Amino acid sequence: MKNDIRLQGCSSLVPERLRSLLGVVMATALVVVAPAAAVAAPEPGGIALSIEQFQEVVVKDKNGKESKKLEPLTTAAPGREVVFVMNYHNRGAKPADGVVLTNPVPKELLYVDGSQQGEGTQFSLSVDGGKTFGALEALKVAGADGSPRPATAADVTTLRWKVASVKAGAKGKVSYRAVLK
Amino acid sequence: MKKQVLGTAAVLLLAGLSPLAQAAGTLAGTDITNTATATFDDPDNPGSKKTVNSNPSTLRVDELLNVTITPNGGTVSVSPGDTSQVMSFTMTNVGNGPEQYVLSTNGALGSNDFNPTNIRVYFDTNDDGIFDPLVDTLYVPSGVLGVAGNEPTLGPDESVTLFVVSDIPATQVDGITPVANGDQGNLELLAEAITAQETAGTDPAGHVFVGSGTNGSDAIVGNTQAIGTADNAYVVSSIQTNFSKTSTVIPPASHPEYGTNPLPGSTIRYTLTLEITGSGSLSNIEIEDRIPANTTFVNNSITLDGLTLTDITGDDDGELRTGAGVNPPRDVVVRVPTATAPRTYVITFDVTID
Repeated sequence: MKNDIRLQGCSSLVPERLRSLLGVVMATALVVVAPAAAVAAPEPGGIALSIEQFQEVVVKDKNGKESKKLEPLTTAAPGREVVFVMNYHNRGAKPADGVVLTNPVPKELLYVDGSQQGEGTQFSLSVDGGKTFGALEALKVAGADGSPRPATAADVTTLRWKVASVKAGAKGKVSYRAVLK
Repeated sequence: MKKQVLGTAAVLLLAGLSPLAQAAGTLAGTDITNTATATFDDPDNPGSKKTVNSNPSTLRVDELLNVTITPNGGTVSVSPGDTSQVMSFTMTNVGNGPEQYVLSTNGALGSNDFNPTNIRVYFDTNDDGIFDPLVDTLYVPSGVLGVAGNEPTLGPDESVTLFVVSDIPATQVDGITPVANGDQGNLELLAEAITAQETAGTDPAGHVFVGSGTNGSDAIVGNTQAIGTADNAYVVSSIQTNFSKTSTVIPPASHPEYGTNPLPGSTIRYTLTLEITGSGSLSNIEIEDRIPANTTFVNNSITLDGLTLTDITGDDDGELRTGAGVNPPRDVVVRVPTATAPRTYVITFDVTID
């Protein structure tokens, strides 16, 4: 049955604007759903980072009301939208400053336009393997004829989030979505 | 006589129109790992940076079960009682993992005049597109659901040509009425991904066979429902053609003594006869004949049923077509848009011996 639900969670059908709203829903839903596992071993006096992957599914309650939730994902078929969530946690006794989280988008996936999220962070992306970062609108790549053209979501190679300071014991999460090629 | 092109009355089906020709996506069974990093000012060593990696997350790519079958060409013309009449199909794995496909045929589809019998399937083993029972492999299914017979494994985007070979009965479905001109017998070829035979019957798109895909991935029924089907038909066509070519030698006016000896300056008159018998009609007949070496075509000598056709293209049904190259080949071309049997066409043209 679980697998049948999976199919319905094809959120690539969700319009762009709604999707960013869903991102908020997702963040709250995560509190409930995200398993506690997979946090890396404690780093003395600093940040521990874990990454998790989810799919968004539509579930119906007993009244037939639909809602979206994230389910952990270990396998995916081409076309599946994957939600990557990175959890950071300052396990030390001192604040960690100048925190930069970086994640290269795996080459088998395509970044979903506008899906980068991170409350309390300053985020940007890269289309040149992480050499330069900015807003997608401001980035250019070499076109078919060699001359620069505006970058698109499909060109995104790397995502970055900056957090000025993470207090001792504080946690946070950032996320993005990508579609399996 | 170089070539005789006879178009049948059937409209040719274009097999290349499948919208599924794109690559099938990331290869099934691939493990995609993703690791994030965090860099920060080391609280314990002011002035230095510290970098930590996340755990790697791993995503295994599921196998999508998708297959298409398309007929190669249109209906197949047959006569009542014919044996081993060949239909050709192309089967393509449009999924993302290697897969075998269990084949079945149905020659009793109803809403047709006769049912093809003794239906067999062959794989085009030498991939030449031509059925050869001595070379191509007869398909032998296991007969057990989910168990492979001798189906070849097709990789993603790989295709195989399948020949469906049937006999044409002498009587219609009722077993009494003789099969006659224009009668049609339909046939369906069906392929199902063997992985999807884990359950009987058709599976809906999105159905998951946990752990049954490539490299232990899940196998997921794709938008083709893991089944490909294609239909084609045998059509009885009792129309026959007979084509012949003769020549006579005419001596030059200045040398009547040459008689019928083919000497330089003599004219050779070629006569092409196309005889269409039986019943029915043919369309888009094109008759081509190459001007022999060491001869020269006599301008405006083409005739069709006694009427002269010009050498120019487009003004009537005849032309002298010149090929490419230094000494281009030249062909007499005569077209017959439609011909209803019985009918005989006679074409003549002249060349002189160099």
